[in-house]
Amino acid sequence: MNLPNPVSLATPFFIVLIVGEMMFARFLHRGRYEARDTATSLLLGFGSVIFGGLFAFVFVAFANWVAAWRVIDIGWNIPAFVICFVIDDLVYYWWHRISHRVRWFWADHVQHHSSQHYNLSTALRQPWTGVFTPSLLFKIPLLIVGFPLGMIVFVHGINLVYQFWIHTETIKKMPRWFEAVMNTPSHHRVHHATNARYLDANYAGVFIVWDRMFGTFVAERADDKPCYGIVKNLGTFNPFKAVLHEWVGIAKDLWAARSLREAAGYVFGPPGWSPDGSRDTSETIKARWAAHANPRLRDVSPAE
Amino acid sequence: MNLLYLIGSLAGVGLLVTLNWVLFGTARGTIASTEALAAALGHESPDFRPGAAAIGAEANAGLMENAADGQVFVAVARGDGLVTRALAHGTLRDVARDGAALTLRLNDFTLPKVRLTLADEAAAQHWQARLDVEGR
Repeated sequence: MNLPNPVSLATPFFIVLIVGEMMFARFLHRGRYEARDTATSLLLGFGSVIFGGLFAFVFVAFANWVAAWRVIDIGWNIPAFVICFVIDDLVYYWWHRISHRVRWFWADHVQHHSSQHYNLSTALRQPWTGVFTPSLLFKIPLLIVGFPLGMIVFVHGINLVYQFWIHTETIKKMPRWFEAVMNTPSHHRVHHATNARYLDANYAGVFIVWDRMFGTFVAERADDKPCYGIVKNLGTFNPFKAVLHEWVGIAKDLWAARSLREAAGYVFGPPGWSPDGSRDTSETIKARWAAHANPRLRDVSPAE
Repeated sequence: MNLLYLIGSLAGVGLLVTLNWVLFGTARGTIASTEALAAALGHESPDFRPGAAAIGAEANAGLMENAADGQVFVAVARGDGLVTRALAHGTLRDVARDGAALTLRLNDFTLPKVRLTLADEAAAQHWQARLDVEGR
């Protein structure tokens, strides 16, 4: 079955909505846009389409190879689409969580987080280097179960289209029932924030219930306005540097590594891991913040 | 994917960025005061306590010490925001001074250089000496 690419179909709507949000931000002062930041985001989106197209054959070849071991043949029907969509979103949750916790994956995903702005153009700030990570492996469960490759690609496209509109500051809160089940602008603002209390939270794609189930949900608070970006924000708008910066960081660290264990830590450890603990990981930042927020914790050693 | 699609996409990017520029201009982040600098660094480092500080004459960059541990931080305006770095040991390649102007060269892929002009030559000398010891 030949299905359209949902992202391609939605692109004209993306553009219209970005223009609308710019107007909204300019005249109603809700949301922020900066021309160079927007240029970087849109060029990263453009580049991701180019790289995605160039390396699509890797995904197709891998998927066809895995699909040869599928347990059953799931046909093309509506219930299959729905189940595939839900499982794909669960898979997305774990891929996303690992992308924040393992530096190899983070080197790719950080490109999406590298803006200090949070607007619809940020949604299009997509990585170029996914082919250099083992992200493909996350598709194995769906392929082994027997969902058709075209269906997996299609539902994942819908997932990505859904995630576009949640990259905005113009919508404060959705109705309560919606906030309870679905990923929303409020939940995803938390995910993009660098405030200590918000680090490593809200990994959901479409259904926020995964975060609630797996203990990674954090609600946005009115008294802690999200600040966006990454712990070490980029000092440039150069899109090539935005794409490469964490890969360069890994390469430098590997060059300086004094043992295989150190090398493994730099690649498979969490972002910010260092052998002597001299750099900040999200855990150390959160621990310092917790101690700062609650001075009684400050003098308590981990052993206690 | 054909050439027309690529050209059209790039043209679309250009139009959106132009619209952004027309609507918002080129807003520049500034470091207007030591309080503003302390607030920015306080967000970056939860246990930050403002210490000695120097703001660039053009309010485009600033240096501030964390009174809690003596660590010096630099903040620099990028776009309408700020970028900060802890100038820990090994982060600086070189600190050059020309009168009251300091040029910091960092071992940093996305922030290789920071220039700031301090209030006077003595202040620049003081910070240069300090960074030479702590950051290199």
